[in-house]
Order: sequence, then C-alpha cells, then structure tokens
Amino acid sequence: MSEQPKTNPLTALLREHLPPKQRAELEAVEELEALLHKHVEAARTAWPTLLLPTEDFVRHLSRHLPVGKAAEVLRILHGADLYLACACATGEPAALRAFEQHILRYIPARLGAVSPSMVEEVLQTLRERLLVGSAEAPPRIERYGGRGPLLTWVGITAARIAGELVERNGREVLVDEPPEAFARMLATGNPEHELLREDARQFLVEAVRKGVATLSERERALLRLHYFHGFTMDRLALMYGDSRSGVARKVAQARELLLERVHAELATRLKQDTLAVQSLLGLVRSQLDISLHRLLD
Amino acid sequence: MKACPQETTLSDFLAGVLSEEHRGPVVEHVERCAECQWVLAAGDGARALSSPSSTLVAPRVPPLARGSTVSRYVVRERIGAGAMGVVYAAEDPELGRQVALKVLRPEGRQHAELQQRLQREAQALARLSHANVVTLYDVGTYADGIFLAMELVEGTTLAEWMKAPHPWREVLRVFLEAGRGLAAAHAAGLVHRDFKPANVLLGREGRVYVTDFGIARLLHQEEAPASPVSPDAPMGRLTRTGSVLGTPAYLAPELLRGQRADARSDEFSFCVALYEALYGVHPFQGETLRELAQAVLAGRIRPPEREVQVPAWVRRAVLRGLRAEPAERFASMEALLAALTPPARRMRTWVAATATVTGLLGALAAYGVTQRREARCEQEVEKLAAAWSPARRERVRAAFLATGAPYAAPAWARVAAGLDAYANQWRTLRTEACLAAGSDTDTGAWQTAACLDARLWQLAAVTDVLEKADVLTLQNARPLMTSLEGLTGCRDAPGLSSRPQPPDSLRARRVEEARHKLAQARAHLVARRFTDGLAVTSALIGQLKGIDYRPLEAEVYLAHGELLGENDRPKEAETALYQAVWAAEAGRDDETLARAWLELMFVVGEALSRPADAEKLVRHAQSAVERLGRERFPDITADLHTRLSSLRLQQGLHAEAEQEVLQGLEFSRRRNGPDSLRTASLLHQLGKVRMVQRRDKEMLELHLQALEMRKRLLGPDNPALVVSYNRVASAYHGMGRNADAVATWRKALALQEAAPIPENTVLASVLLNLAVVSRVEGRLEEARTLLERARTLFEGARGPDHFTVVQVLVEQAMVYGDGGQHDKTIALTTEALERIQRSMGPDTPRATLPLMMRGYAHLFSGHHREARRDLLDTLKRMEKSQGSGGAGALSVLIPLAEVALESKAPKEALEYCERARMLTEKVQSQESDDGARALTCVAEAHLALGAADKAVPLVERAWSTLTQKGGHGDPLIAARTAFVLARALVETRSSPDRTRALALAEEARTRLESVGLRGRPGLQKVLAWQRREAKR
Repeated sequence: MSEQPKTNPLTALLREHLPPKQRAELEAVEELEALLHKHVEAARTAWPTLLLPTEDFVRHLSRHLPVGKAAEVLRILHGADLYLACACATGEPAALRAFEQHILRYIPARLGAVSPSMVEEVLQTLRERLLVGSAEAPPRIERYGGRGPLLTWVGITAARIAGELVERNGREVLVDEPPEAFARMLATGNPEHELLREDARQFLVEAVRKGVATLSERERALLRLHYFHGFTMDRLALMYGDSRSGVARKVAQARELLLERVHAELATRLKQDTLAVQSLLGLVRSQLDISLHRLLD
Repeated sequence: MKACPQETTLSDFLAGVLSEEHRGPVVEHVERCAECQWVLAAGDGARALSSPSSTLVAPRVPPLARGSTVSRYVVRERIGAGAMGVVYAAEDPELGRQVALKVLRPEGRQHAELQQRLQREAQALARLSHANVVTLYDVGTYADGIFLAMELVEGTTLAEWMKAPHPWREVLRVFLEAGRGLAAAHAAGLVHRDFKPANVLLGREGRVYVTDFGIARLLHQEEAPASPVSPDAPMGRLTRTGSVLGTPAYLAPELLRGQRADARSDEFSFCVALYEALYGVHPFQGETLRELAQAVLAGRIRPPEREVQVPAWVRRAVLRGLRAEPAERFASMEALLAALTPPARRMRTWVAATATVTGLLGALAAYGVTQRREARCEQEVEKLAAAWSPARRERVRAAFLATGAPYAAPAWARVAAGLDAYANQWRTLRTEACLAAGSDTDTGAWQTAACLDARLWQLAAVTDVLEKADVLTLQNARPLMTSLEGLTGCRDAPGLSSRPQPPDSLRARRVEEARHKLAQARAHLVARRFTDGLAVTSALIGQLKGIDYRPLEAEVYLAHGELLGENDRPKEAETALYQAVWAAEAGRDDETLARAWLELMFVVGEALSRPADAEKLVRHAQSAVERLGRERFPDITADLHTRLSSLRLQQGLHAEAEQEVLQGLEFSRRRNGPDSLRTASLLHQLGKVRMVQRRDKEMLELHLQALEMRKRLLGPDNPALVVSYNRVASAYHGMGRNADAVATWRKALALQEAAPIPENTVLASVLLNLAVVSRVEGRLEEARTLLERARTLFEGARGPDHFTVVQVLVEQAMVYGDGGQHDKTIALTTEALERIQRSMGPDTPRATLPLMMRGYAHLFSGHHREARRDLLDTLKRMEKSQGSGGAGALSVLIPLAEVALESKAPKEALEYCERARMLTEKVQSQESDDGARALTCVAEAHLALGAADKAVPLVERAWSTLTQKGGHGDPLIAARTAFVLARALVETRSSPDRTRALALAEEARTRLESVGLRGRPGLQKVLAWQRREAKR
C-alpha cells in the first residue's frame, strides 16, 4: 500500500494526532484508510444529524488507541458509538438527545430487579457524572474508548452507581436472594415436589447449599455467571480468554461436580433409601438450571 | 486486585480485549465479587435488552431484543450470525421447547436473493428427517425478512472443534455421523453444496448435526449450471460473489468448472474437511482459485505439518474421496462411510456402538465415573436383544418363509432391512441418551431415554407378532413397520414424543408392563387381528384400577376403541373412546387425546352417521391436532385431513371434502415424502371426491396412482390391495368401462379369497359393486344373490340404518325395477328412505339416492305426480348440499324431463334438458354417456315440440358418441338415443331418411331386448312405433 497523504486523508489525520512513537504502529494496519473510512461512515450513517466534524472524531479516536494495540483496537472499534460519545463530550445538544434515546433508555432493563425510584436516581447520577464536565475535567463520557459497545460501558457505570447508592442508603439489596427461595421455587408447578414431605424438602435445600459450599470460587462463579446472569458461552469465552468449548466444558464440569456433591450429601442422609436419593437427585437435576443461582452467593 | 475494577477495564474484559497480564487479576477479582458479576451482567445485557448500538460486525441492524417475538417464538439470546442470517435461541411457548431461530438479515440489494436462498433452505430441510441433520420445524415471514425455526443444538461448530487436534478415532466418529446426515440428504434427493466444518454442529451430548442446507438444491431438479468463476479471484472474497455457491477451500473442482453439484461433489467437500481434521492442514494449497484448482487436478496433497497417527485404511478412503475426477471417487456417501468404518466394527454390528461410547469417554474421564457409566450404558443398550436379537431375527425369517406366500421373500427382505435400521438407530440414540443422562447438562436426556424405552416395547411387540407371522401378518407387515416410526422424535422433543411417565418408580414398573401388553394390542390392530387385540385390551382394562394412572388408562381405552371401531362395533367403540378422551384430559396426554377425537370423528360421524355430534367432534379433533402441532405429528395431521374429507363426502358436502383432501395431500407429500401409505390414502380420497364431481378421468388417474403406490409399498400380491382394486374398478365402471371394471373386481376377489381373512365390509363393497354391473347387464338373479350377501355383511357390521345398508337396499330396489316390479321398488326405496332419515335426520343429502330411485319407479309406473314430487325433492336436496351446479343433478333433470314429456308438458321438459346439457358441458365433455343422454333429452323435447329439424343434429351427435365408445355403456341409454334419432329422422321435413330410421329403431329394439325386463317399457314403445311405421 503506497503512502500518499492526499489520497489517504483520514490516515494522514490520524497520524498527525498520534504521538510520534505510536505512528509506526499504523504501518502494520492493513487497508487503514478503508478501515477508518468505514468507521466514519458507520458514525455518519448511525447519527446523520450530528455535527461533530470528522477531524474532531479522528482526534478523539487517536487518544483511545493504547500503545501497542492500535491495530487491534482499530479492527474491533465501535466507531458509531465512539463518535456519539465524543459528540456528547462536546455538549452537542443533538448528541445528548441521541444518548438519551439510544443508550439511557435501555439502562433500566439492564439493572434488572431494582426498584423504579432507585432507577430514576441511578439515571440522574449517571447523567451528571457522564455528561457534565467541570472546570478541571471534561465530561467523563470522554473516557469511553469504543472497544466494546457504548451501552455496555454505560451499563457497567450505571450498575456501579447503583452499587454505590445501595451502600450509601442501604435501602435495597442488589444481588442476594434468600436460599429458601429454592424450596419455594421447586414447589411451583412441579407435582413431583408436591409429593415430597416437608422434611425431604429441607434435606434437599440443605444438600444443595452444602454442595455449593464445596465448589471452588471459579466453579461457583462460572455457574453463577452462566445460569444466573445469563452470560452466553461465547461471552464467557471472551472474558476468560478461553475457547467456547473450553468454557462450556468447564461450566458443565462445575454443574456435574455440584450434582455429585449433592448426591453424596443426600446419600449420607438417606442411607436406607436409594430410591428416594435417586428421585430427589432427579428433581435437583431437572430444576438446577433455573434454581442454581439462588444458592450461589 | 482488591478494589473493584474501573468501568473501562470491565468493559474491555467483557469485549475480551484485556491483555493476558491484566485479565488474570480481573478474573480473580470478579470470581470473588458478586457485585462485579452483577455489574458485568448489566453491561453485557445478557439478561436484559440487547445492545441497540451498532458495530462493524452487524452494521445498523438492531438485533432482536430478548423477549421480543418472531411469529410465536420468543427470542432468548443471540447465538451467532452466519453468511445468511442471525441465529437466536428462542422459545416456542406453544410447544414449550427451545428452538434456534434463524432470521434473515435484511440487507438492501441482496435482500431478494438472500431471501430466496433461505426459502430454498427451508424447502430442502423440510424434506429431511435424520438424527444427524438439524431438524426444521417451521418457516415464516418476519417483518420484511423470513425466519426458520429449527432444532436448537447447543454446542459448538465442527470448525471450532477442529481448532484443537483430536485423536483419529474421535475425528472419525464425528465425521461418520456427519456423513450419515449427508447420506440421508442424498437419499432424499438433496445435495448440500456447501459442506464445510462451519456447517456442522456438535451438540453438547456429542451428537453431530449437518446444517445450513442453505444452498442445497434438489438433485433432480432442473437448474442452470453455475457460471464459472474468474480463476484468479482471491480466495477470501469468493464466497460473497455468489456466482459459485460454496466455500472455495471445500469446493469440488467440477463445481469450479461450472458443472452441476451432485452427491460426489459433497463427498469431495466432506473429504477435504476430514483430511483437515485428521492432519491439521488443508489438503490442497493455493492462494488463488487457479492455484487451488491446479493442486486438486494434479492431486498434490499437502503433507501433515505435525506427527499424526492415522490408519492406512482411513487415509486411503479419504484420498479416494479427494480425487479430481468424480468418477474415481466413491460412488456414494454410503460407500465412503463403509470404507471409513473401523473394520472391527463392521464385523460385529451386534455389539454396542463402541465408537460412540469411546468418543464420549474422553470428556468424561476426568470424573472417575467413566467405567461405571460405560458399563451401565452398555447394559441399558443390551435391552435391545429382547426385541431384536439375531436369534429372533432368524425366527421371524423362518416364520415368514413358512407361510409359503409368494410374496414372503420380498416381504421379509423389506422387514429385515427396516428393523435392522430401526434397531441400529435405537442403539445409537439410547447409548447417547444414557451417557448424556449421567454426564451432561442436558436435562432432556432421561426423558429421551424413557421415550426410547417405550419405543423398544413397541418394537418388541411388533417382533412378537412377526415371529408368529401368518399370511395375514405378512399382508400387514408394512403398516406394522410404519407404526414403529419416530425414534428421532424421542431425541428432538422427548417431552412430546414419549408417553407421559408415572411419577413414582413403583407404579412405573407396572405401567411399563401394561404398556408392553398394549403395544401387542396395537400390533394386532395394525395386523387387523381384532379379536386377538380386543382380548388384550379387555384384560388390560381390568387391570387399570390397580394402577390408577390416567395416561395409561387413556392409551388402553383408545386402543380398545380403535379395535372396536375397526371391528365394526361403532357403538361400543364410542363408549370406549370417550373413556379415552376423559382419561387423556385428566392425565394431560395431548397426543392420545388428539387420536381419540379423530377416532370418534370417524366412529360417530361416519360409522354411526350422527351429523350433529360429528360437528362437535370435528372441532375437538381440529383443535387437538393444532395444540399438538401439525408439523410435529405429521401422521396425525394427515389422518385428520383424510378422515375429515371422508366425513364431509359422506355428508354430501363435496366442496369441503375436496378442500380438506387437497390440503392433506399437500401436507402429506411435503412431510411424508413422495411414497407413503398416508399419501396413498389421500389420493384415494381425492379420487372419491372427483367421482361425485364426475371428473372421471382424474378420478381414475388418482385411484390408479394410489394403487401403484400401495403396490410398491405393500408388495403386489398383498390382499390389503383389495380396497385399492375396488376403487379402481369403481372408477372404470363409473366411466362406462365395464369390462375393465369387472376384470379389476375379479382380481380383488381373487386376492381376497386367496387370503384367510374373514368376510368383512371391504368384501361387501366389492360384492355390491359387482352386483351393479350384473344388474346393468341384465343378470338380475346374479345381482340379487350378490346383494343379499352384501346386505347381510353390512347389516351385521354396521346396523340396519347405516348408509351402506341403504345403498344395498336401493340397489335391490333397482333390481326389482329392472325386473318390471315397480311396486316393490317403491316399497324398498321407501324403506331405505326411512332408514337413512332415521340415522341421519330428515334433511340429509344422503336421502337423495332412495328418493331419486323412488321417483324413477313412480315414473315407470305412470305415477307422474309422485314421480315429479320425489324428483324435485331430490333436486332440492342436491342443490342444497352441492350448489346449483352439482354434476349429480343430471340424473334428476333427465327423468324430470321425462315426467314432463309424459305429462305432455314439452316446454318444461326442454328447460330441464337444457339445464342438463349445460351441466354436462360444464363438468365434462359432451362426448360422454352423460353428455349423450343430455343431448338426447334435448332432442326428444324438441321432437315433442314438433321441431324435428332441431332434434336431428343433436341426437346424431349423441349417437355417434355412444357408438364410438364401442357399446360399453348402458344399452338402455343407447337404445333410447337410437329410438329418438329414428323418430327424428322420420319426422324431419327437410330430408326424411326412413330406411336409416327403421334400422335405428331395430337397433333400439335389439338393445332393449338384450337387457330383459328392464328394457320392457321402452321396448313396448319401440314396437308400437315400428308397427305404426310399417303401416305407412
């Protein structure tokens, strides 16, 4: 690829704003001009009404290319999201409206079972923190680097804020649910469970609780992330830097291990009655996927 | 890391862009910090709405949000995106199962083309049902795109799996399964055309599925060859150009040349992928297509880059599949798979599926429970021996051949092949289910296992019956085999396919025993051994109380009711079937419920002819099938269409009958493939509809098609074909081809008599039909004897007021009429009328037949007023049930004209005749018996009005039609036409032709004399005319 600044205006622009020592990194990027063009196009198409000049966007982009990782980040960049964040940081009114409509709107759903009044509080704090700058510092949304979706980044910030609010006023509990819920949940709509005696139900809850306690941090976390928080195997693979099948296998192993522990626990308690152990275990197995999370705290 | 990470760090963590040294501490922290997990979940949105923001990977298209719906499916999460669409995991709330939802990405210019490709995928997949092919459930449109709902395979792609090296045995196991999927596709006439590792899925439980038949085309379908690609196009972009479908690295060289894809080009792609999986490198090297093609053509195989152990026989087979010249590869996937099957396993097919077991062991070894589980699974699978062991196989073979039936050997061959395949499939699925139940996160595994075990009882029951095979069993071997279908259903939707299971294991054992016996009763039912079957179900009913399990009760009563219904005991059947309905409802057993409603629809609607009740039952049956899922249970759905059409036809509602059967045929052809017993039944049913519509040619064609199909499926000497022969013969008869009809009926009788089957209503129908021919040909005594036999059989089986009995009564009345005893005709038709009105209500369209015949009898007796009354009443009923254009009206309009003529009202007669002529013009040509009758009628009316000139050309045409047909038709009709022509020729003013007229009158006389008494009234008229003319 030849280097002619006239025919590659975006590349030239980026080079200009990048610290000299990082410029060499750009050489390694294949079809850089086309890539930049694609990002700019994505931004323009997504937000046709925003006025932020391309040059400002590219300058902003240059600040979010970590040393040694420019090529990688350019490849995975969420260009349209980064553009929106940059425009918000400049305080462009249309950008703030777009942020409200395309990002903030989806935040309540991500917070899950948080009370409506608290959601409002979170959103308000979020607006202040991200969009309002001060004399010393620009608005915090400037820190968004486009390496994941903007919504993800804002969602994380929002959840953090929710956490702070909880800590501050102690009104709500974010994460935990009482393990006893397990017994209730097993009972709903499950005729087999109705047949269990009360003491057997208690056994069951107790056995699962003990089983969970014997798991390692990692196993517990995997089960929790997958079954409770709903992370897909693909996402877990990204987070753990593992292959999809590798993560899937680990999750399956953790589950299997838990079942074995529960089995052992039940077996010691119900020595005489292998039939009862089997049927209780079957019950656990079938209900596990939807109930596991309630004991994984 | 003690403090919680910053948002940007967490965001990078989610996106997977943290460097190794950073990730470690973050993972460590997150695993201990419940709050960070919660924060991450809020960022990932895994449980909430998906991100609306755009990325480069999926530009501008907001993914479907969790909880949004596509048709009836509720989106759960996005699981991937292929070249053609985005795939979501979704839920089908109606059937309560998870599906993979593939939604076409709407993308501007290529939209139409992509949509077509998806639709093609749908059509192709819908024809395939195989354990190693992703099952397609549903297709539909969504916004401006379309979606496919298919089996959700949780696991990974073969491409992903191949990233790590695997031992050759494991590679082979996976590829053998994928290959079986491809072979099944080929057997269904489909070529994949884009086989590659990315298009193969590995389920969590280890099963392998071929998917993305996006570009598979029907093998035999005409298609323009793909245009050749520029050979120097760079590799990466080729898949997107669209001129060659398929991924170049896996494409067979002949496709690059623009030739048509076939099974052997799939074989090539398969072997490329297999080579890659075995050796870790692509077999051919090339930066451009040209280089790649050159490597292929020269057979330059790239050596492996790492030390790899692969047996020589595997390598040989793969290299042969990689030949550039298709003719040098294996002739079929089956041949390739046979060559790839480990020799040891080829020798001992009776040992448990070791390859499958070995394959899964690797994953389980870490748990230390492997040995136990493997042993247990082997034991589980050995249950199969109870149903189908080599010893039993031999006994069945001996029993078949011992019958001495000429079709025993081919019947055995079919049965053996079918049962072997079934047993193999069972073994594979059961092993997998067993391993999965003990090892995996698949909670459906134990259900699958239970479902498979239930199927095993069925198999055992069937082989029980086969082992004691006699001629009757042989005759029904095919339906017996068909009743076994559905092992994959256990895996796909075990909750739906398996019978409900009792909650506690104590009862489970007794329910299992009862079901085993029940399976025997079912086998008896299919083999038409009703008495044996009823003995089993009666005993079971006695045991039900002790077990107290509703779904079982429903199953038992259903079988009991079906046996009673088939055994022509409809009243008792009704009682039993309602028991089944109540038990099924109480036990939430939808499948049995649907079957029971269907059965009731037949028993109450047709066998007992209670139309008001039938309507309610139709609704029940329809909604039950809908609830069950039409596509999930194609057999039940096809039966619903056949039965409903049959009911409508019996009720005289022809348009509805037609619509129903056409829908059914479309469905059955799509779901059951070109040849199936159910499709054949539907063809016969459509033939019956065409008969009442008087679309004779189509009727005959349909019945012949159905007969041929059933011959192929059942064997040519099977007495079960009697029904089909009977229908074909009736068709011939309806078209006036009496000789063909009689010959066909004789064939049917011979088949029936050669088999040791008790006389039944099928036989009665044949007798009735033969009687009609005998009567028409004037052999009244013969007709009488045949009718007596038929009537006894029908009355015994169906009761005195059943429609079939009424049909015989009317036919008997007609025999008297033909014998000139019109008073007896009137008495018998009056009785028939009373009977049918008693069973079907006063307004039933079914009353038209006796009414019309009574009208005829009055006409012949000179009671013109009564004749007119009856005939008009008939016409009214016909028009009410068929609309004013119904073809059947012809047989009323012509006698009405005759009455008018006799009452000296020629203008009225002309009106009726013209209506008749218009009808025949509309529904068939005038060159038919009916057309000739209508023309003669018009001519006669003109004659009565004194317009002989108008009459001559009409009746000439009628006469030439009748004589051209070679005199097969009813002599009475020919005689009438000849006589009218004779009279017209004499009376015409232009050029009377007396000589020809006299000759024609003579011809009329001969024909009338040939039919004996039936021709007497006409004969008297002809003789009187001849006497008058002689005096001139």
